[in-house]
Amino acid sequence: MWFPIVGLIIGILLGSIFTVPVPIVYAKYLSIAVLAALDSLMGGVRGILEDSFDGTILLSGFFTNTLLAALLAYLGDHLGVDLYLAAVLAFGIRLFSNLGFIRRDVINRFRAKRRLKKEGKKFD
Amino acid sequence: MTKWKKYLPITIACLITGLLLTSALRAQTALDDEGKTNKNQTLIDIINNLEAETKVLEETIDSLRSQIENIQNKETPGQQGYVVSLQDQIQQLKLRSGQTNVSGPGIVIVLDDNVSGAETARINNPDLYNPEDFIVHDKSLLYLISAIRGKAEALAINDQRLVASSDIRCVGTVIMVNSSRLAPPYEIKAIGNPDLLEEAVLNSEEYYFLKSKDMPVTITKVEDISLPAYKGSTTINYTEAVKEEKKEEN
Repeated sequence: MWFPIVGLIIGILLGSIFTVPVPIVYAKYLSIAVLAALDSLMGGVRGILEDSFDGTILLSGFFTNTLLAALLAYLGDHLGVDLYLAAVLAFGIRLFSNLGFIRRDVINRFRAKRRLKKEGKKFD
Repeated sequence: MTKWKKYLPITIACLITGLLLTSALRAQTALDDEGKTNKNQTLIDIINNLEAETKVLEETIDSLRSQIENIQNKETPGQQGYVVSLQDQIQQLKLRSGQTNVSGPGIVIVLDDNVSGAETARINNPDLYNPEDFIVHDKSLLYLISAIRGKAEALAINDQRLVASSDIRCVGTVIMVNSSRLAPPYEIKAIGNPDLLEEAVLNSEEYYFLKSKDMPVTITKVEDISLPAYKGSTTINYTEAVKEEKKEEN
């Protein structure tokens, strides 16, 4: 259960220690990629909570989404269309809806646990 | 074991996300910093370079002038009297044009920004607070100098000697004298009859004005002040003396 959080912390630490030099021109695309990555992660967490988690689907979605988001923003910049807004909008909406589902799942689990405890006490 | 394997993909995703997140943050802060300082920094560099250049050039002028002086002061055999009188004349001219270090009795006027007044005004009524009312302006210096110029034999502001071609002007938030930036407190040194100079300042309108605005102005009579020489250029490129035809004496 704690592996993902530990992984996130290790990732942040690694990023802080080993500075990956990113050319400033690509800073924007990197931000979009981070948004896509966060979206995939939230999807994964939701999958775990709803017991429909599939590692392969998560990883494939993670990589394609981040790369595609960055590429889309890059393409948009060269076409003169703010395509990165599309990525921000799509990933933002999905991020929030996933967060909503996660919240509901967590609350439901918590309630179910409490109910089980109460019922267990009744039977004692 | 199965649990560990189950969570492996999301752990990897988390790790990469963390990496991406920190590098994105880093890139973004670098971007922000650059935008803020980049433009100003080039301008600051240009100003600093030009000021350094001015300093070097002033030093060159100084050394060339001392070279000239050495050559002029060389003992020349024969024509002794003529050369000596010429040298005296040169010294006199230099003294008059402000190209020598000078000393003598006089007054020192110290003029500073009204920092405490500004502070109280800012706290008491911030709506009416105008920082312009509490700093020394170029005009104050100009008027004070004008008030004493006729009675002073030599003048300097913060070690910038005032000569005929000196300028006192305002550039943004600093006052420039002889095209050098000065910072408060401004110290006007004047050589001349101390009593007359003090009287001239006390009777000047600008002094009343500064006092009425509670600016910190002090006048002190000094037995012996020394002023530096003017370091700038005195080249004359365009002006020619008009030759007056001597009237025939009848």
